[in-house]
Parts: sequence; C-alpha cells; structure tokens
Amino acid sequence: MVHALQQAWRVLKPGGSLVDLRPLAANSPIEVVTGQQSRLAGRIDDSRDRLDDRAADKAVSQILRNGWFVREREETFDYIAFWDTLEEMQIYIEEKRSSLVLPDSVVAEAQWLLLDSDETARLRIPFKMIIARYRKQG
Amino acid sequence: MFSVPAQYDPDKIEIKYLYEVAELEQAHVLEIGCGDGRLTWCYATSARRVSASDPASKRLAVARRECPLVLASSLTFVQARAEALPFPPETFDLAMMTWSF
Repeated sequence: MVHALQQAWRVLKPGGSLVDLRPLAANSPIEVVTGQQSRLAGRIDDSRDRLDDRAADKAVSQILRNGWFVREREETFDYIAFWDTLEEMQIYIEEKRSSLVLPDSVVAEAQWLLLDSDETARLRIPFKMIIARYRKQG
Repeated sequence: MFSVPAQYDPDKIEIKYLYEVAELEQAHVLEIGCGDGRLTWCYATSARRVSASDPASKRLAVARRECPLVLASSLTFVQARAEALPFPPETFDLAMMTWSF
C-alpha cells in the first residue's frame, strides 16, 4: 500500500492532492425497514476488512511521517444500501464485498423479520465510509 | 413480495462528499481503482480530463462498454496496478483512490 501511495505522490503535480475514499469495517447493522420503522436482524461480520483497515491506516501514517503528504480533511459517512430480498443482498455481498460474512443466525433472523413484515419491507445496511484529502509536499 | 430494485446510496451522500472533499473543477484527475466506472460517471464531467485505472481487465471492459458518450473525449481507461502506474511524474492535479485500498 505504501508503494501505491508513493506512486500517487510521483504522478501528482507539486501541490496536487490525493483523495482516499473507502469503506471502513464497522460491524454494520443489517436492518429490516418498513416505512419509518426499522428492526435489527444482526450485524455483518467484517473482521477480515479490519485487517485491511489497519494496513491502510499504517500506510497512510507512514506517508505522513515521511513528509510526502499532509492531511487536510477527513470525514466519515454512511453509504446506505437497500434490497428487496435476502437473495439480492447476498448476491451483492458475494460480487462486490466478498470479504464480508453474513452469519447464518443473522440471515435466519432477517428472513423471519421479512416474513413478519408487510410487503413493503426491505433490507438495509448502512456501510461506514471514510473520505480524506491529502496535499502533496516536496 | 413488493418488488423494488436494489438501491445503493439513494441520497447520493457518497457523491456529495466526493464533490465537497475532492478538488475536481477543471482538474486533470487520476482515478486509481475505477472498477466498472460506477463512481467515474458521477464526477468526470466536472474534471478537465480523467485517466481511470484498474488492474482488472474484466472490470475495465465493463467500464469501457458503459462509458457515457459525453465523456468519450475526456476520459481514458488504463489497465494498471496502483503500485506501477504508467504515467510520467507530475502529470495530475488530483489522484483518487476509490474503494481500492
């Protein structure tokens, strides 16, 4: 990761900026929502992503220490995804976020909550995101 | 069951933050990890020029296929790993690593 950041530094003009936008592991809740009401089915297992987060944070710390960049801004926000069915949600996670695990107990609870809700019920996961801007130095 | 397509970030919060944090206006932008271009289409019209890179040829093929015509003259796709970017030094105003760490 440090090599990728070093490459970004190399191709940036003097005073250019680097933006890092990525999901953060946060054990996001899986909810069944109907209108304004939401019920918690459980939490996603993102323990594998935590290792990636730590590696990314370590790489960023190193480039800041090296004086290649200075951090100008950092924000976190929720990237919210909705699905009509459990199958749709499972396909998304398999295809786009394959490091995430849906525990069987959470899947079973979500299925039960969907059956116990009216036809407008949907599944929702608010994924935690981070966005930061760094200014090239030197 | 009531059928509604899956929705991702329906309030466009990610794009709002991207516009707020990244200095896109008239910039020469390098996107590192563009994937299928999902995010690229959302900001590229604000930039002067965009080079979008990704190591995966399949994802880049989707991006090239789905690239809006309006971006054809200002957007270039490049297959490259983030650790070996095939660009000269000091080329870009802004580099964005998007979902690629």
